[in-house]
Amino acid sequence: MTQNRANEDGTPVTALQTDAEILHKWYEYASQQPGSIGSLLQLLRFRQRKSEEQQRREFEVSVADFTKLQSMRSPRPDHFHSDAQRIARACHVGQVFHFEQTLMLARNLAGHAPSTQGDVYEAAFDAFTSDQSMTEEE
Amino acid sequence: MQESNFPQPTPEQLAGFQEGDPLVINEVVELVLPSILRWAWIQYQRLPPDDVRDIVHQVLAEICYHAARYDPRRSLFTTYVIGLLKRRLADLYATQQERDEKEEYGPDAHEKLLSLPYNETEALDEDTRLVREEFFHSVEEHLEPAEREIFQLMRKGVKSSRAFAAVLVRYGPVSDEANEVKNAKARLMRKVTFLAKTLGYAPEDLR
Repeated sequence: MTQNRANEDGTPVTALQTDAEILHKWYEYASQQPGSIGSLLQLLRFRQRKSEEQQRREFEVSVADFTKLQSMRSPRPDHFHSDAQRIARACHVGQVFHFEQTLMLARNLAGHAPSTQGDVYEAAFDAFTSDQSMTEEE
Repeated sequence: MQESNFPQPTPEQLAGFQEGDPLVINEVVELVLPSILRWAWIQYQRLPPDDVRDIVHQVLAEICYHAARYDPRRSLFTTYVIGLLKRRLADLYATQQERDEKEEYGPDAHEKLLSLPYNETEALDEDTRLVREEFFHSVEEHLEPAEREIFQLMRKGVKSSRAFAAVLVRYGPVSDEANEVKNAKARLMRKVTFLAKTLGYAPEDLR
């Protein structure tokens, strides 16, 4: 079994993993969990037929920071604006406003917060997808 | 509250954690995850490291999802995490154990095991059997829960040290399985011998 793997000095192989490696695995796991930013962005990628790489470039964020960003829990409904901005700053997102808008769009799409403000973004989203299909047709 | 060797979140971080602040939740995870995972890998060396990591991730994700459930007045954060982890890892250990035993003894292992005490009981003199049963019953009342389970396994004639280890792991981490099983059995035998003397049973009635 793999559990008895050890180096020559008897140190288990797993003990040699760095904090960064351990956290990277966590980010990957957490980003797939319901309620994470990753799950919201994935929903939007599916609707917009975008790749993760495209989305990352739009936000102007590094690969490592994007992995961490996606692992975080979604902003709280009652602190949405400030949470989204703080998350964007912590993960060195270049396009903070775009990130915040995208997140709100995804949240509304997921049906988390049906509101007047959400309707505006939903409309913007519909317009965006229409534009995209027109581009595809061209 | 007990001291801990694990890094602990600050009171401000704990307050933010309970409020479900996503950034603070991430800070807390980044603070405690590496040390807790390394602890789990060392304590549960018989389990596949990837499985241990999966369980640690699951437990942490659930704790983050239900952040308001944690009460800092009742326990340290890492004590809370480890308490939940131990239960999950014990379940994983039991599953692994069952899988290993099936591989080791084959599909009819369970039937073989059941037949052992029956055959032994038949060969016993009826009086001795009654005295023994009465004694075992008295002994079990004086044993701790883990000791009682080990005692019952020994009575069933179980030889596999993994079966005993599975009991031990339910009551705490086991790092050196063979040694800890051996010590637990030896401690139990000393206790049983002492109880036999105290309760006035003759050794010949118990053989």
